Amino acid sequence: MKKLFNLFINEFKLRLFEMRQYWFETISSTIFIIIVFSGLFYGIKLFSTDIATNENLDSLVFGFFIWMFASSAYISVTSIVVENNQKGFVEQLFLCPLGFKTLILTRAAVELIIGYLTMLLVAFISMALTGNWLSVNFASLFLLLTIATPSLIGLGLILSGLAFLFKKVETITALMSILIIGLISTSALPINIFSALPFSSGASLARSVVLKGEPLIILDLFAVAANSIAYFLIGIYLFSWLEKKTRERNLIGQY
Amino acid sequence: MAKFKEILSLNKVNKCYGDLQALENISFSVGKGEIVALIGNNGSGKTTTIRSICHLLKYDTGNIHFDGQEVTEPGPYLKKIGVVLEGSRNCHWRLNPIQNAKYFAGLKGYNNSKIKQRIQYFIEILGLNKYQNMEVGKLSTGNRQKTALLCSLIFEPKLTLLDEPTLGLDIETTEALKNAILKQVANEGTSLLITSHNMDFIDKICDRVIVIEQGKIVFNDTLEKLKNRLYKYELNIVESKQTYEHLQTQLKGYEADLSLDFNCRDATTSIKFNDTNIALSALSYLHNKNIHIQELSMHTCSMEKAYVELLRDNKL
Repeated sequence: MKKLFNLFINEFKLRLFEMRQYWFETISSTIFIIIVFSGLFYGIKLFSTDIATNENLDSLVFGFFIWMFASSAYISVTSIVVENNQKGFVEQLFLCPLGFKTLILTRAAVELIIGYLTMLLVAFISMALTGNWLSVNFASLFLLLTIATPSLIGLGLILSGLAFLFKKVETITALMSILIIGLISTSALPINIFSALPFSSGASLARSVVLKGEPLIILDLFAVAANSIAYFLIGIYLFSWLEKKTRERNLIGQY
Repeated sequence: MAKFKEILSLNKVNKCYGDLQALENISFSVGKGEIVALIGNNGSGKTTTIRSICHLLKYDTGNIHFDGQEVTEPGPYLKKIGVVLEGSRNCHWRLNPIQNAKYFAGLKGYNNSKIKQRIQYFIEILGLNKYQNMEVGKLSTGNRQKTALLCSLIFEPKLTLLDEPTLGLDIETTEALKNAILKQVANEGTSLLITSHNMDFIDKICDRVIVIEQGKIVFNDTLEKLKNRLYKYELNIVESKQTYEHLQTQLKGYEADLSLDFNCRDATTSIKFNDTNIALSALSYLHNKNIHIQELSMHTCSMEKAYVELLRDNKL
């Protein structure tokens, strides 16, 4: 456990190093998101005339929050393979004694925390700038997202495995960012056919509990957790299989 | 070899890519504190061997033991192995050498205060002081290579694998690299397996050489033995063909112990031998006959020559 914690700290430090080195990207991306959020808030102020519209726009802004978070959770896993393949030292990451899979998951955990912090920062700055406060219980939101996010990590693992084998998977990555919007906006609770989609039930539960303030139904929570674990395990299995194929063909790092 | 206790051993390792047999029954070992060279032409299987050892690729059959334990997949044993892969694929280019060293040590599971001391120690040894705060991407090829070496040695590995460490390095940097490696081996008893095309570097640094050709080991012994397959010394005398003929007569009886050639293009008689008396006899004969020679040179058999000769014999 201590080894894992040390690995986590090491990856966290690397992320901070990178954020400092790529400071322009760090600042500009944060400002960009704040501008988009602020735009949505101002939209609410300008066009909302009744409570119903306000609720719809709250839902839109909330959806944007979730989409931003979900995309970063999914990209965090794929970027370790795609970016580090391009940066050129991915082979050295494979020499991690705890295994590459552990490393990838540790980095995903780091990205998750950074994603939470960024979401908090952006949300509060945007709301403070616009003076329009959404009533969101961030503790409940983060808890639900933490339960639902492994499904996205599972998707990220599948794509990372494909990136090892086929090297360039930008088209699928871009497509996935759009598909995530669909996954988030689908109403997957109470349990229906869409509940089988990855992350959809988690986003639906977050919307109903955190945004609409509805009571938490344990069965729904269970469905979210089961969906999340299932996709995560599928991701792990396919990633392991693709990684094995990559090793067999000697393709690690051959970008 | 017997003086070294084994740290790494490969036993009948095979790897095929479709119809191409990249490695065929590769078996060798590396002793503790031993520096072994793995040499061969391009595509001979050197890098495939290195990648097999650290499980960056999956070999088909055979087994690999590290420190007495069989290793079948990547795992904890990698904590004790430092690897510098061919090219610039070893460091994070946006971090400086110190940040790289800290990160890769942490990746291996080392992040104590001793590591910080060792970073300073290796920065000194490798001559990276001036560049320690510069991004690796802005450093020269040599300094990037030194940073890679820094990252691979920082955690006191039992074995370090260096794939083409001198590629693209100038003479001065190669010399600095050589000294750093020798110092490391002397101080900490690290074992090294090095692939390189730089025969001079291999000659100066290695205890043993393994020659691999088309995926097969064709030689595995000390450098001395590789060189002794030929002759220890070579004496070159620039004179007329007549001198060559005289020498042929004079050295009759030594035929089994030497090789005598004449190169028409530069009128050089070349005598290759092991016993220094042969040189004395040849020179004394020329002196007594008052033959004034234009040019005379004598040198020991080079690693490069021995290697080229080995490959030629292997192809015949």
